[in-house]
Amino acid sequence: MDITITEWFTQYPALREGLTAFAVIFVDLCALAILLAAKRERNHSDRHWAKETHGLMLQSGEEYYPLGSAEILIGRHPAADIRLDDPEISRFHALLTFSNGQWHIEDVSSGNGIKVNGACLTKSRVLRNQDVIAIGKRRMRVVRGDGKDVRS
Amino acid sequence: MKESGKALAHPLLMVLVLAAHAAMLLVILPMGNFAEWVKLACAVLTMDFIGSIVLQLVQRQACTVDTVLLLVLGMSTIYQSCFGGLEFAWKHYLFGLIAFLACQVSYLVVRNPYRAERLKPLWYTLFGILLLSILLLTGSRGIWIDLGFITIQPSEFVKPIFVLICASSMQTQLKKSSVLGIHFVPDNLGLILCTVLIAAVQWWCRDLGSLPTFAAVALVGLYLRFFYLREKFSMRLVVFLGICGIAACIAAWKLAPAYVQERLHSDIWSDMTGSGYQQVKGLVAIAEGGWFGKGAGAGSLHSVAASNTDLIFASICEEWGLFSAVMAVILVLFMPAAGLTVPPRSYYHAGLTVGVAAVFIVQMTLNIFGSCNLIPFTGVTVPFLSQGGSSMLSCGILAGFLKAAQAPQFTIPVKKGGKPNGGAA
Repeated sequence: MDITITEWFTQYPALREGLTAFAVIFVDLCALAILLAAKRERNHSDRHWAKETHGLMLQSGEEYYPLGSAEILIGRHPAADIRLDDPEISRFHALLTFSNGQWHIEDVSSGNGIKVNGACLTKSRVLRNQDVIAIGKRRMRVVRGDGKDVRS
Repeated sequence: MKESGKALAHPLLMVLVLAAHAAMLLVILPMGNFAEWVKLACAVLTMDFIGSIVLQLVQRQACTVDTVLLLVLGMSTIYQSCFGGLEFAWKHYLFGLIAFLACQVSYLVVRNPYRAERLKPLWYTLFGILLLSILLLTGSRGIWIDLGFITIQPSEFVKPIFVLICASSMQTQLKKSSVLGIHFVPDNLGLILCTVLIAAVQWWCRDLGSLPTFAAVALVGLYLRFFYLREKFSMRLVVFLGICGIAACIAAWKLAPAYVQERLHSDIWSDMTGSGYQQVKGLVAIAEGGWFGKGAGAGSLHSVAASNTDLIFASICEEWGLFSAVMAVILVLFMPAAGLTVPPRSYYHAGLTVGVAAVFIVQMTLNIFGSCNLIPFTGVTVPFLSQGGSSMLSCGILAGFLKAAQAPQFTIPVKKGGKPNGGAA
């Protein structure tokens, strides 16, 4: 049976198309499974983040601000992750960063400074559960939460 | 190196990848040349096997990017081996394997954004070395370095380095310097200088096809810095930058070299045997392929120059059909899409993700639209599908950046003798 591939495919076009469709279906199935896996990874990522960061969030009165990324900018500016509308608060006032399993707070050249547990913040310091941050007239308490993204 | 917490190994995904490759291999079995088919089948299935082992060893928290990468690499090896008759494309396969390993290495290097940010002087140095190598080693304003046994395209390696330079953390953006009363962020100045330098070098060596890719990465990098982290939104700045952009485009249009002017104004249908030959052949191949193609190895486009690089989309369309070609393109786009599905946890990784997305999307757009005669032919490759070692390796490194954004690590190394930090709460 000495027959070239071109002749073979020309002789049975429906079979050739069926074979290619068969391969495409498998690739499609694979793509679908990957999509579902990506969704599962997102949920896993949220849970992993909450566990890694001890699920800490900021509470100010009735409002809660979850800490969803390793850098959280607090200020009056619309681009800030946690926007506080207070004339005593600078546009970019404080920066929270997460490293080595701890949250840190530092002053980002604010005009009126930051107090943590009543003490003025002069350099970066570690934040702990139940610490109270005073920025302008706002008081924010560090509490445990569910770790949702502040930007979502 | 294993991640703590519940591991997300996806054995089902790996079985599906194997099944997809096996189905494709079955389709090409009637092509004859059984010896080559066995080589190809063993190679592709071995890559899947090695891939799944490497995934278990390196990290198991996020493996969407790796799974897509393995699927696409296997598919592209099968495509490349079938053009013009079945012959195992071992070079493409080897570079695919190296790209997969490069992805794991780059993931390990940049998964900690603090460490990657500290390595920025190294990225600038590598950037400078690569630009110098383009200027000094390619010879007569070329883009290739010929080492005898292999040719290297250094501009391809500039892409991942440029993406690393474009990414920036919030802390870096808040550090300002002042010279003669002008306040500026040194990192932003570095990015602008690098953008100008790469544009000048690409112009000098006549590699204008890569310019849109670098421009896209620079634009998303600058957007994230100047507009998302803006201290004061200025409409005047937007208008000024817009006017500058339009002026640069007009100047580039007018000052473009003669061969570019020719491509911009030529009608491929009036010069089908000359300058429009490749595009005409490509369009005919896409049309002839239809939904399910003429059959693997049954195409005629392989006789046209650059059929497995610049015309890869048309080649796949011809032999495997439009369905397969579109699916392959969508799968490549899955990689940055997966990176954006799981939101990055740091500004640095967000910068890396959008930078890689810009590279992949612009390169695919230029290649596919060029093949379809919607824009002039640029000679840019499709990530992972086109043949070419430099491009493959560079794209593998970029895929590692996407993976790093999905499974980051936030550790600031403690100096020797320093006090280790305790828990937060």
